[in-house]
Amino acid sequence: MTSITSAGIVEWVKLKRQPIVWISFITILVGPLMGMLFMGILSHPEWAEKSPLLANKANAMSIIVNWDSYFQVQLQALAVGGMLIFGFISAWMFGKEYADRTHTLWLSLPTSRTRIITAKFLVLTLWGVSLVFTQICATILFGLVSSLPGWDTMSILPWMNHMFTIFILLWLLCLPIAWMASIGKGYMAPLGFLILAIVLAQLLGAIGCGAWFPWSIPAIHAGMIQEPIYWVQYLLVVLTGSSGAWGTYFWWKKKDQ
Amino acid sequence: MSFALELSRIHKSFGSTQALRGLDLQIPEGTLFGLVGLNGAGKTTLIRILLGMIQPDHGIVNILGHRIQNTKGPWEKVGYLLAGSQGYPRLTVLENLRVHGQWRGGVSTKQILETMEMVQLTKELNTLASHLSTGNMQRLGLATALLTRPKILVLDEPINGLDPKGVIDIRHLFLQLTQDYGTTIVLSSHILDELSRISDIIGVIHEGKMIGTYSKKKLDALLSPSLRLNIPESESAINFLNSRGYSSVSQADNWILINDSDLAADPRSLVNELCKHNLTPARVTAEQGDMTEFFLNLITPSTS
Repeated sequence: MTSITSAGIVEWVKLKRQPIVWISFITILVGPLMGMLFMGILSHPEWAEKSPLLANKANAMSIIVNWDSYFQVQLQALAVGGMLIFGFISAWMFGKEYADRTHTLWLSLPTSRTRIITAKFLVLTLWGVSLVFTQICATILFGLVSSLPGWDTMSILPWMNHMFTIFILLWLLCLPIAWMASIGKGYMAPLGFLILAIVLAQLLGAIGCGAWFPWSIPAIHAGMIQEPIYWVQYLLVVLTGSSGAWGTYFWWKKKDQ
Repeated sequence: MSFALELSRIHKSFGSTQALRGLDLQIPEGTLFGLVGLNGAGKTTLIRILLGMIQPDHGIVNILGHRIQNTKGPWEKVGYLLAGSQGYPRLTVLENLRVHGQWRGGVSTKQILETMEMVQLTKELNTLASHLSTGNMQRLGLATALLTRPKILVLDEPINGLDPKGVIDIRHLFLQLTQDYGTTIVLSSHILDELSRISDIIGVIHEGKMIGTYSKKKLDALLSPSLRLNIPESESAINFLNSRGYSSVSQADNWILINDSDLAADPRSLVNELCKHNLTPARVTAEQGDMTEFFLNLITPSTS
C-alpha cells in the first residue's frame, strides 16, 4: 500500500498544464477588483456619472468607502463567486477522469481507490485554501495601494476568520458536487446540480427560507441575506458535506466501474 | 499445475442483460491466454471482473491464490491495459509513467526508461500524451502495464492501432515475458490470426459463456493447411480417399477437404492416383486454416 502522500503528489502532478488552475486564480481576483471598483466609484462622483449602474449597485449594497465595507464586499464575493469556482473545481476534479476516460487507470492498483479519492479531496482543500489566501492578499494589497480610509489592524483577523469560515462552508457544499460528478460520469450532472443549487439558494433566500437550504448558508453567513442563522443550520451544511463525501467514497468503492 | 487465474461459475447481469452466464476459466501460470469473442460476448465484462472493477453477481475469482472481493486483490502483481485513454493527456509520457510509479509504490527512473525501451517509446519521452499517435498511445498503455514487471498482465485489445512493425515487436515482447519471466498474459483481441499465432491457449467466449478453450497444439492441428479438391464425382472420390486411409476428409459444397499439411504441401502423388481412377480433379488448391473462419464456425451453432 502506498501512502496518502504519494496519492496526493499524483493528484497535484495531474494539475500540471491545466488551464482551470490559472483560470480559477484569475477568477478569484474578480472579488478584490470589484471591491476596488465600487470604492473608486463611490469616492469619485465623476466615475459614478459614467457608470450609473455600478453606482446604483454600490448604493444598493450600502457600500461606503472604508476598509470594513471593502472587507464585507469580499465576504459576499467569496460566498457567491466561491460557490461557483469551488463547484466547478470539484466537478472538474471528478468529472474529468470520466470525460478523459482516465479513471480506469487507477481502479486496480496497490494504492486503494479510497486513498486516491482522499487525495483528490486533499488537493481540492489545498487548492481552495490557496484561492482564499490569494483573495485575502489581493484584497489587502489593492486596499493599501488605493489608500482606503479606516485601516484597523485588529479587524483583519476577524475578517480572515469569516473568510475561512465561508471557505469551509463552501468546501463542504462542494462534496455533493463531487458525488454528482461520479454518478453522472462527467461534467454535465455536477454543473447542472451546481446551477440548480445556486438558483434555489437565491429563490429560497428571497422568500425567507434560505437558512434551511445548505447552499444559502454561506451567503447568509456573509451578510448578503438578513436572516438569523443558528448552529443547527451550520450542522445541516456539515451533514450535506458528509453525505457528499460518503456518497463519493461509496460510489468509487462499491459501484461497478 | 498451478493456476494464475481461476474463475468459477461467474454470473453477471446489467439490468435484464446477462453478460456472463456461469463462466468457468482456469489459466495456468506463465501462459499467454488469448480471449476471443464477438462484440457483446462478455470479454470486457470478464476482464473488468478479473481486475475487480466489476463485482460478479455470483461466482468466485482467484488471482494468484487471492480471492478478489470488494475491489481488493493482489494488484501490485497485476498490470493492465483497457480500451480507452492510456494516459493523462496534459502530462508527458515520462510524467504519466512517474504517476503510475507513484501509484505502484515508487519506481526508479531507470526502470521507467527500461520500460519505455521495451515498448519503443523512448523517443517520445517528453511528448504530451495528447500529442501521441494512436499506436504510441497504445505503447504508453503497455508501458504503464509493464512498469513494475507484474506477474500477470491483463490486456484488452493491446495491438489495436499498432503498425505492422509494432505488432511484431509486441509479439516478441509477449513471448519474452511468458517464456523468460513466467508472466501470465490474458489478452483479448479481434485480430484473430495474430492472436492464434502468439497464444498458448485460446478461449472462445460467446453469449457470456466460455464455449471452448484450445491449446496451441490443438489449434495448430485444427488450423493446419488443408487440401481442397473439386471433383465432379465427389461420392466416388470420398469413398476412394477413405479406402486409401485418409481420415480427415470432409465435404463442403462442391469441394472435398483433406486436413493433411503434408498433402497440402505436395498433392502431386494423390492427384496422379485420382486421375488413374478416373476421378480427375477439376481444381486443386491448398490453403492455410483460417482462424476467423474457425471462430465463426464455432459460434455459428449457438448463434443460430
